[in-house]
Amino acid sequence: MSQFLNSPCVDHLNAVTRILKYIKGSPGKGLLYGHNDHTGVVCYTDADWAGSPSDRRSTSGYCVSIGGNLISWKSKKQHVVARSSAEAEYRAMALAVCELIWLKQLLKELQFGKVTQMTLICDNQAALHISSNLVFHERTKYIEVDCHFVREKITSGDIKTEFVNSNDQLADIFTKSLRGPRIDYICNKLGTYNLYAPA
Amino acid sequence: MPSSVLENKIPHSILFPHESLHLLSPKVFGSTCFVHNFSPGLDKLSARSHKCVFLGFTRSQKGYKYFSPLLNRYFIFADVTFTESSFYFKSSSSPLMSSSNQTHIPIVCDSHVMSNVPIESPPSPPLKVYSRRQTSQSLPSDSPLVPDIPPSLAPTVEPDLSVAIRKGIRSTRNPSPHYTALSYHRLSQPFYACLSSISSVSIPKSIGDALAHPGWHQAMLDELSVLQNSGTWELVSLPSGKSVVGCRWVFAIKVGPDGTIDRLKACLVAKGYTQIFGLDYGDTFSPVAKMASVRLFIAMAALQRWPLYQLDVKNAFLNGDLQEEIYMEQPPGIVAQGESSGLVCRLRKSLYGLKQSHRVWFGKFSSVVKEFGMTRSEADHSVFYRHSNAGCIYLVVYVDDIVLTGSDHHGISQLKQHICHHFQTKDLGKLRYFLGIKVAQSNHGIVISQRKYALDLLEETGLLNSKSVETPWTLMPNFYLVRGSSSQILRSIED
Repeated sequence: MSQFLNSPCVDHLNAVTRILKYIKGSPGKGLLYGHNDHTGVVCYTDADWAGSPSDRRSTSGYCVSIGGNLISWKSKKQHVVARSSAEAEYRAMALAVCELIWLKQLLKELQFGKVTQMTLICDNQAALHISSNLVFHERTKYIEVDCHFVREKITSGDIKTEFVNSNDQLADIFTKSLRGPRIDYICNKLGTYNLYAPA
Repeated sequence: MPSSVLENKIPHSILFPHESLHLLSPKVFGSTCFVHNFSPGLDKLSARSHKCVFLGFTRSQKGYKYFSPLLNRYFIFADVTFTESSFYFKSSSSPLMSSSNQTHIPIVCDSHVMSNVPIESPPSPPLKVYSRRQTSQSLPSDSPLVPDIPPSLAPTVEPDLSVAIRKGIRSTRNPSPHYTALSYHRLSQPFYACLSSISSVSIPKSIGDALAHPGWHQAMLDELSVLQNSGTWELVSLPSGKSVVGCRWVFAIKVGPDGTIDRLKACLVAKGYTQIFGLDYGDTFSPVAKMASVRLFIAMAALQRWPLYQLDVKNAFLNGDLQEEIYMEQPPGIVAQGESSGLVCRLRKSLYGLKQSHRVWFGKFSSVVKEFGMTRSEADHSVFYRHSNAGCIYLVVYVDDIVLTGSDHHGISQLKQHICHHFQTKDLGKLRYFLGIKVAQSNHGIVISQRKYALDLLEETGLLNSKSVETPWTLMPNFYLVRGSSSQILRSIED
């Protein structure tokens, strides 16, 4: 919503009201941090290709969890127009890799847990192929910087990539508008917990 | 339009001298009325109308405005039957309906209108029912603007009185439900106490007002003694070539959880906006913790079953030591007398409002924590850690809120004492509430939620009683927002 702050209109106000009404549904919803045994860092990335109807830019989203506990997430409209969904996904991956590197450095300093490979999960096969193979042709020319950046991290072993079916893609919630049951399902997977729910 | 040819009258009143321009005669607010039910599918025996409460007139349409509490709907109709003598809501005797409402307000009334009002005996039947086509029934056709007056009151009211005054008298006899809605006595006890206590003490608008009030004066003296005890400034004469930073008082009323006034707080702040870059201040950047690091702390504590503790530093910004030479005016209202009256304050410690106060405070805190053997993280500068044989200690600071966790329990209590020794600190025990996030620790894990924040937000926007929706975004296809669309642009938040 904040991208419209310089010229707020009635439509935008209605949208904000709807968001507040959604919050009204369960104001006590929070995140549950459980006592899990593993401390692996898992990151889901997703992109909504050409999701903005006014300028056809894509939205990237990611969520990072450590030991199954969600700690960081982001949803952001990309700066440039992506020409294919793989490209949009790839930008989202690059954004998530930035966050993962920061987290890795912090964890290393804090000497917390075993520093293992971090997992980057994506639901786009093409983007995964670009990241691991040296395919490089005219369609990926213009995402060269992102390409090299992610590939470098993968070859150095910091990060490994994994494919996930779109049905189990948890970062969907940060990029697309979903239906009620789907939102509930993903929120549940991400570890939300309503402390005030009538048991 | 009135024209001089028509003796400044409008054509309508020339053509129809006996008809009012206002087709809708005034009615008693809050009275019961019956709106015809136009909905299809009514059977022969069902009710023909809705029982509604009369609210007022619309600006845009010719019609009365009603509300039906039964259907929870508003109506705008002209064709309505009124029962003005009975209010929709049962009138309750309210303690606030005192005689003060009877004060006669002088109202400038339009002489043209009032001269048309005939002195006539008011309509006699107490339960008079008439419809919108008002000229037909009990009212004389030339007096549509005369409000109906209850018969018992009529002889006492002079006909020259304006409409508003007559209504005022009637409403005291027969309290309308709207008065009770606007009064205090239906509020809950703490809220009532809060409202009435806030209205009894007002925030002073000028320094003179504050000095006149004993409570505020005492609050200012308290603040000054705190500042002087910590050695915030010393009185010197201003060296030539140096500029002076102004200062002012900020007043606040602290309200306790039960709604009573906790204390009056006066805070001296410097006018940081008069400082000059390069002369009075240099760098002003100061790190604050990323929310991700705070959540990482909570996740780490949950994974390793460590306890989370919280500390709160009082008057944090007053602790920073200033490097720059800054001269400030003496606090307004309380100026030292005698030979020191022309002096200025040379600041030794930082003060709220200075550009660099945040940075200076963080630098001071950082050095104190490092004395204890903590290391500052390079990835997030507001995170500190220490590893030793006894275990580890982690610390994250968000301005003046500190969160501690780790496996070295002895070290943590030592660190707490170390911080308490250097700053005036409040040990809040286990982490419960941090930056608007409620943290609940249990054997099964830690739950964080922003319930209070969400409820406050809903209350502020008046959506507490709204219906909740399943999704935050509409599922209509092809629905999207554009920048500066053709729809009406909001002027400001207040509109």
